Amino acid sequence: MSLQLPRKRTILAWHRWLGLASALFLLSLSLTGLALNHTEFLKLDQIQIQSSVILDRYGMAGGADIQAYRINESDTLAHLDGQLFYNAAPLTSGSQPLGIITGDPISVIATDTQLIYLTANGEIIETIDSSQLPYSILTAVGTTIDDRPVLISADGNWTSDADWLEFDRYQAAYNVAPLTTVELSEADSNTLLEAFQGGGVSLYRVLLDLHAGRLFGWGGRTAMDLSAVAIIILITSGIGGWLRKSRRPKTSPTL
Amino acid sequence: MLWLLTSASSHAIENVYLEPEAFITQSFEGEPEQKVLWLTKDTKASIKQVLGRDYRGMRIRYWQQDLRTAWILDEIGKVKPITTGFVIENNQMVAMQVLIYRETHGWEVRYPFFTDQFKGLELGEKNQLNRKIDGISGATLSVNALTRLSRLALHLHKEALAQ
Repeated sequence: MSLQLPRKRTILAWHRWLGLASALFLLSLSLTGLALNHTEFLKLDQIQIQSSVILDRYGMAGGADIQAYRINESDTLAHLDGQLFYNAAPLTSGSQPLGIITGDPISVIATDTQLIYLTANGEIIETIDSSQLPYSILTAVGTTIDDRPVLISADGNWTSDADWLEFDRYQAAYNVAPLTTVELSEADSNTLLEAFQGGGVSLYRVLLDLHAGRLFGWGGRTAMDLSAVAIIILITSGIGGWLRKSRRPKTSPTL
Repeated sequence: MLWLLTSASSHAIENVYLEPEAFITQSFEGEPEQKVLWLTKDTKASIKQVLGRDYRGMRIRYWQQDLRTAWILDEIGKVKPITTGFVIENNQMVAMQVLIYRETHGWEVRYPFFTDQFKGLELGEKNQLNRKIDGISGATLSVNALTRLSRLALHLHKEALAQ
């Protein structure tokens, strides 16, 4: 029993259109694969990409997302994408501050799940997370009538001792003033962005993610999966076309 | 009501095995005193030797009753901190318990077959533990983190009592 192959013209048409449709992806797959195979020689891991388009793909936020606040009179506390910066120097990871309590000798940054205790120079004294706090999520920071800070949460309101070690439940009146932001100079914003983004993303990382399609998220990965399937079909149709040709009965030359 | 410690946060990725407050309560007979160990330059240098890196912060809180101290310390296993409680008396580890685990792998370190190894541990020469801790396959980073932390807790106990 002989295998019934489609007509040669049909096979070649499929082969041609599939080849054209996947050419760009296959080219990308081949070129990035070649480059990645020679990472050391090409020093791909030593070349840093700082293009905003590429950094954006890696979720490295731009300067527009910086929120800055005044702390310890003339210093600045900035928040950018889960990172806190003191005078543009990285401080610690943390969410956006809900309150800043300037004190002597301890100043406190209050986020929803953390209290960060600092010296007047911005050195970290201690970081306390919600496992060691009398509440789960902080909602605001207020002040009592006698100007003591009060931590406001759904679990109740709390005041602390001078060393910020122990917390007492507070049930009297308090005021809440919104935390005001300040404008960072362009130079400070750039320094902060540099600290946040590091040297950028290595070319090796970018090529690896381009090779796998991850650079473009779910769509990119799917396109690369389809490209891999296209290679299989191209091989099959190529061999099929060749078999179809070779099975054509040879006609004897007419004399 | 005076709060020392209280409930852990309800973050979905956190596995709270024992509330820190409960750990402190069950580690002492009666109410311990909450204290703070301020880290001097020398203490920070010795902590670096024990931990293998700088400790960020200038003070560490602990609980004390007579010669028994309890410490709740954090150390990153792979990417997330593991919150662990230590009880030390007479420079010997009385108990070690994983309180909050946030990593996706290596949670086996919470089980007694592993934590019981730390009972009776002491700090020997060059701040090394006097006994070897057996590892767990697939939880190497967590095991290493807890071994480092246990050395740190024993060291801090000595420092606290010396101060």
